[in-house]
Amino acid sequence: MKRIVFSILIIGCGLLEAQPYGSFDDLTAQLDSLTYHLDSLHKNLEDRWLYSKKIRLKGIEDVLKRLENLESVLLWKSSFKYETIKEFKQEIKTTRGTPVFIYHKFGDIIIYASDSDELKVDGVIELVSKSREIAKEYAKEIGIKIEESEDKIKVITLSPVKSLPAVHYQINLKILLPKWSPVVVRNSFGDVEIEGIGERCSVNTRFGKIGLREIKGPIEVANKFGKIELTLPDEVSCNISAMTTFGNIETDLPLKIERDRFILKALGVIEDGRIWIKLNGKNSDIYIRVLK
Amino acid sequence: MRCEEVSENLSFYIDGEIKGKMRKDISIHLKKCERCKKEASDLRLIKAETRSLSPIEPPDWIWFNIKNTLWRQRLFKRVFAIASAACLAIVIVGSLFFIRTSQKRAKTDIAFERLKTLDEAIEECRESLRVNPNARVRKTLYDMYKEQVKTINLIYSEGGEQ
Repeated sequence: MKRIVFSILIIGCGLLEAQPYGSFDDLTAQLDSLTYHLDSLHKNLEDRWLYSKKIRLKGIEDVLKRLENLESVLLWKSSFKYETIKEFKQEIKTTRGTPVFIYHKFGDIIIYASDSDELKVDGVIELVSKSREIAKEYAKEIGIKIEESEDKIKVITLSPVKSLPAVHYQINLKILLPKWSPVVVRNSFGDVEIEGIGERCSVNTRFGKIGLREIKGPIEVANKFGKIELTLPDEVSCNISAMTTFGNIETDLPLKIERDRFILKALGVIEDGRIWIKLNGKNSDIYIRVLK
Repeated sequence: MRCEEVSENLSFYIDGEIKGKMRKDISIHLKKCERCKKEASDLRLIKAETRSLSPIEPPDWIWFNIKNTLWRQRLFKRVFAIASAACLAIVIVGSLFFIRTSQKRAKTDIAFERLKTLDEAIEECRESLRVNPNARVRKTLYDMYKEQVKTINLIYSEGGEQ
């Protein structure tokens, strides 16, 4: 009896919700609906005795249909007409060993090492909107700020205080960094690539790929969703500890790989273990290679 | 020759299975010894009586009993073999079922853990979508949803169906 009542309720909800999907404007409503149905499926999994296989399959089909409808909205190429591109360029002199902190949210970051003592920041801000006025207004608020103090340099990307769904933007950074400067990078949605730094390198992103190449100092990396690619210099001497959940680890180094349910670890000391390398991925694949 | 030696060989002597010197020695002893002579005479009498007896036909029930006993023994062996094979089969099938169920259970548990992390990620993406719905955020959100549906599907296919 319980099963029949639940089945009727689910089918009823499905019929009521099964309407054609609109544009980006009602995206929130569509996402709410999708999340609601996914939550129902989730609950359905936990109380599976209540539901028949047919009902559960119907639930899956329904969610897949909703996702298919959302695909066009989520992966849609912007129909916003007004695009504003701002460029940012700044160079500052650094003293040897001064750490550089980069706080970023939306966009990619590429960092190259240089032999000079100058820090060069090139930023491209892309902003698109429905109207020219909104685009202009928002463009004023989005930017890049460099803060210099005695013991550190901060590169910060600025976001608008209030947000509208009618505007979206991204800032891509290219940074030329003195190779003796330690670097700390924080990002949310975007890839991070760093090459040739001779000092400590710490990267933490949420959603994006991290690629580190020929870093000679200690490395600390954390990522939530996205692969981590580490290419170490030839004749490296390091102590590696890599861990990922729901991901894979591939390496050409003689590391000891351990698996505990969904956690995969790779540990090992190469040569004298002079520098430490800590990689921590969640839902990430990790690749550790040596440059040949 | 001593009496014990004669007594031991007396039956063979009467049957004519002993020849030569030994036969001669026993004959000489029997002429001298009354006790052994008496024993030889008794033995000859028993043998003569036995030869005169007609062969006895065993009754039918003897064969029935023998057949029955043999059949029971064979049946017991067969039943024992079948029962042993059945027990072994139950143990093997049970073990395989247990291993398979444990593997399925482990996979399902991992998928549930993954669902939790995906829920958190979707929540975070949706927060960012409110602030800046750029293509990257939207694509990430779409990927998270897709991964979530895939994981739920995996639980359906791996989990215990009703």
